[in-house]
Amino acid sequence: MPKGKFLGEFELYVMLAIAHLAADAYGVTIRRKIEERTGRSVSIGSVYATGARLVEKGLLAVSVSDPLPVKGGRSRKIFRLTRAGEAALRHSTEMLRRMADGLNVDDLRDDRAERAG
Amino acid sequence: MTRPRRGPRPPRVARVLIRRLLWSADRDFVSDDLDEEFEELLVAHGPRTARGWYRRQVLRSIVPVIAWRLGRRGSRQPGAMTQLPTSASAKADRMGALLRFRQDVRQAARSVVRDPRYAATVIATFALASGANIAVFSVVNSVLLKPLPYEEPERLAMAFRVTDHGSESRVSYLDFLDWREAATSFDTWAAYSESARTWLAESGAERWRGIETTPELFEVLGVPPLHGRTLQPGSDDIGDPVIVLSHALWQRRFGSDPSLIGRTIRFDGGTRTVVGVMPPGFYFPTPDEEYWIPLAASGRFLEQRGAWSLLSIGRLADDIPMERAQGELLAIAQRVDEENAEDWDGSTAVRVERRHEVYVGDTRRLFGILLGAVALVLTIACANIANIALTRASVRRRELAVRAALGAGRGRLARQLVTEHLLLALAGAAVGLFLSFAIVRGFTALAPADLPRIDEVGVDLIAFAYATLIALLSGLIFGSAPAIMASRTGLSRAINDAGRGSMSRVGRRTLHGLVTAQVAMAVILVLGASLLVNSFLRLSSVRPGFDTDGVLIMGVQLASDRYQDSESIEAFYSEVRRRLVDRPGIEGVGFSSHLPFSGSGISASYVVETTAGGRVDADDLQLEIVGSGYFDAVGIPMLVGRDVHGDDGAGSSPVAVINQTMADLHWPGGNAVGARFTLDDSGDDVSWHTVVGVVGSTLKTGLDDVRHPVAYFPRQQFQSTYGIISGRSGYLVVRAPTAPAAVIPTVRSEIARIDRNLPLTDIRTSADMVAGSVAAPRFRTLVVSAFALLALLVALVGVYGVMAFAVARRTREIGIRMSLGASDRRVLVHVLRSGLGVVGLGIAIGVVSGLAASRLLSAMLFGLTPTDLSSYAAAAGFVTVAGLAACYLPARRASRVEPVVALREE
Repeated sequence: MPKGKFLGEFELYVMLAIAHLAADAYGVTIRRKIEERTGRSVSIGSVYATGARLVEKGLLAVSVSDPLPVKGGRSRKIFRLTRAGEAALRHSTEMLRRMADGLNVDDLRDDRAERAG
Repeated sequence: MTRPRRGPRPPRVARVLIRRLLWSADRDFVSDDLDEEFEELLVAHGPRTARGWYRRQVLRSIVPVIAWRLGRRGSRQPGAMTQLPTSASAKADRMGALLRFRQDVRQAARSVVRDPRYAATVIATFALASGANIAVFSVVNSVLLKPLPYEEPERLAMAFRVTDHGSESRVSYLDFLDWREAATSFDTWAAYSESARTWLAESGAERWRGIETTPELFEVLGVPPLHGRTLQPGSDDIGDPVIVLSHALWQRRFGSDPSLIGRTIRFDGGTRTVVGVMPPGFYFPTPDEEYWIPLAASGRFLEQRGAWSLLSIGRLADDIPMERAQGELLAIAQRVDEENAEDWDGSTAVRVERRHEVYVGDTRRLFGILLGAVALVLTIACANIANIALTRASVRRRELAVRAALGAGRGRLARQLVTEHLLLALAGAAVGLFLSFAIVRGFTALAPADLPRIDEVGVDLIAFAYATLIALLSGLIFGSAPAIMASRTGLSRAINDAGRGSMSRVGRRTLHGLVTAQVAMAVILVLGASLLVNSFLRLSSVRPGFDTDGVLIMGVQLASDRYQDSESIEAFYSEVRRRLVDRPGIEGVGFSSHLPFSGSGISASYVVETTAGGRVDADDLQLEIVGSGYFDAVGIPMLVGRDVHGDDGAGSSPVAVINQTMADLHWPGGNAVGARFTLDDSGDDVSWHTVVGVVGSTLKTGLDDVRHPVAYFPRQQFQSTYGIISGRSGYLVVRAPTAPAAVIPTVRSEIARIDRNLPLTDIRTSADMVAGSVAAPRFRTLVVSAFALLALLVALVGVYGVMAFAVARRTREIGIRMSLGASDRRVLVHVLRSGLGVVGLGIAIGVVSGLAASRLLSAMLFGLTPTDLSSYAAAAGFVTVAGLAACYLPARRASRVEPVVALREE
């Protein structure tokens, strides 16, 4: 990904979730991970749509798992970060860190957390 | 694919929805994910929570999935989410096109909603024009295009004799039998004539209209009865007392009682057995005829070869073209005439014509004109819409150019503009469809009563399809104008163009051209209306020869069993006169077998004795049987001599009163009183009628008729001379100058006292009769005028719009002029002149085209030619003034421009 471009907020969350989940990242788990950690509700459609966009940008790769070894078992679409994806993730988080450096973020008013809490 | 095995399932609608939105490659992945979490939630929190969650997920996924879809469209490279197998690429192409279309529609809808005034203007304009079109089309479809309600109606044909004047005439029974026997081109053939008889119920008498016919009629028409049977050849002979009823009559008077079949009813002084009832919707010859009986045995008409009293209708044999039938019939008729006539002059002529043509053919011209008129209205409306679309597009020019430069693609933009207008057109057509219901209702209310199939007129599915068609075509046409302009826009030029919504020269010329065309078309319509109005005014001023005010008329039908001879008939009329003539409000009473304006009559050939003593043959003499006092009652002036009176009875020498036309024809300049003529040309023992009086001439069929020679015979004498029972059916005429309608109850009660079972029919005043005769010209004048006004209005709105746009566009220029010293008057005149230039050109073109087009109206014009100068002048003048008014407002606004404000505008 060319330098100087940023990931969108949700795109970032998806990639971070995948980073957390390692080999187990598919629709359900990604969605749940973001929902748990951010506290905001996430639709399965947005996960897949964002995933598709990131695949197109070359930041994610997708593969289809073998059907589960149960009767009528399904196969799943597994997402993983590509090399470029990892780089982009590093880049974005680094940028964030630099921007937030020095700020006492906790002192900032966080309306969303207040509402959610 | 996993599916929840037990227990509650995910909400079906939501599941189907999300699966529909997705495509085969990814459908299962997404759906299975949803199902998986659903199961877990089911276990953890119960079905309510799980289902709610599922629904919310689907709802929130709709937009992202659609975005995902759109994103997919552009990318089919490796590394994309899914690799599409080649067989699916065509499907993806179609999906892509569909998606693009959906996006266009949504974009168009958004753009339309953003500018509600524009949308409302377009929809309103188009609704008016399309409503009128749908209405006229519905009428034309119902009357002209829909087939008649018979079996294979295109094979039904009628045969007529043709007189020396070229008009169609009826056939005699004997001729019909001979023709039928010899003809091979007809499978079956029937002959009939009108009848109007009295039905007797307990509550009183009612007069029905129907026909008496040979029994093959129902075989010819091919429609089976609803109950019972129809008339059968071989069993229902002439004079048999059977009757078949129409469905409406059966419903109305007998309560749809099926046990009526086989019962007898009291009919026309005797009884008849009801043998059948026809199904609803069936009629012959018109919906007014409600019963069918075998040909009557009475009257010598059946035995007289020369009595041309029957109409005939037959079913052509398979694959026989009309020309062959006509040729065969002509040969047969000529042979029969030659065999039977003593002095056949070889002038037999016949005509075979399709039933459909006979029944509705007369309306063809009228409907053609109406269709042309509404098509013009629609074209004008479309031109209008194209104009405002152009001006709107030019205002948005900069925006469109920028969008194009940013990659929207010119083709895409054009497509969006067209889609926008298609949407507007469809919306307008929907409103127009609603309007058309009302317009059709107005149409049928105004239409003359004798317009055929008028009760079958309605807006139906075909009209709906037609509405959609004209919406799509029109939307394409007027949407393409701005689309073409938009796709030609060069970006830099658009952005650099100063001033609000400037337009290229081509665009401006298109605008003006459209306005000119609109005005021209409106002028054509206004011209047509002007001619028709002029014609109608002339028609209305014709004097028919009798009093159009203060005369009451009603039909009388004496029952044949009660009035069997001349004396009883005479007694009836004398008694009526005695009872009525002194009543308040009544000044005169009379009887006649026929009325002016009734159109029907008996015509005969005759021989006159000239003043020099020679004999002259003539034909087409109208015969009428009258009682004394008729001329006074109906207001026909007695010019010379005397009326018929009581002394002109059975024993005295035959007399007649003739009209002026006949007198001038045979005894010009001299005195016709005392001259003689006869109806019988057989030679020696003829009855010569002596003329005792001459009355003014009247018109027979309508105000546009010519005057024919008419002879009036005293009733009793005519009956005794010719043995034809006359006077049983005819008209009672009551002169009541102050208030004819007010004496109706008096007349009714007095007649009821004489004969309780005698119904009076067709009660109307002479004024009504005249009005009825001009109903058709009045109708078409009204309708064409309405369309002309509508067209002019739409065209004027177009003129105003273009003028206003031009002024707005050139505000800066005007400001400069004024600041340089031009007075506001000069600006006003300048703008007016440019506007009038466009309008004037339109008027000129319209007048020239009108000269050609008005020839189509020539058959409908009375008393003037299609090039009548006064009508053209009136039309041109009217449109000029209107055009001036339309240009005036914007011109005045131009003259009010404040130079400072104008110059400041960018």
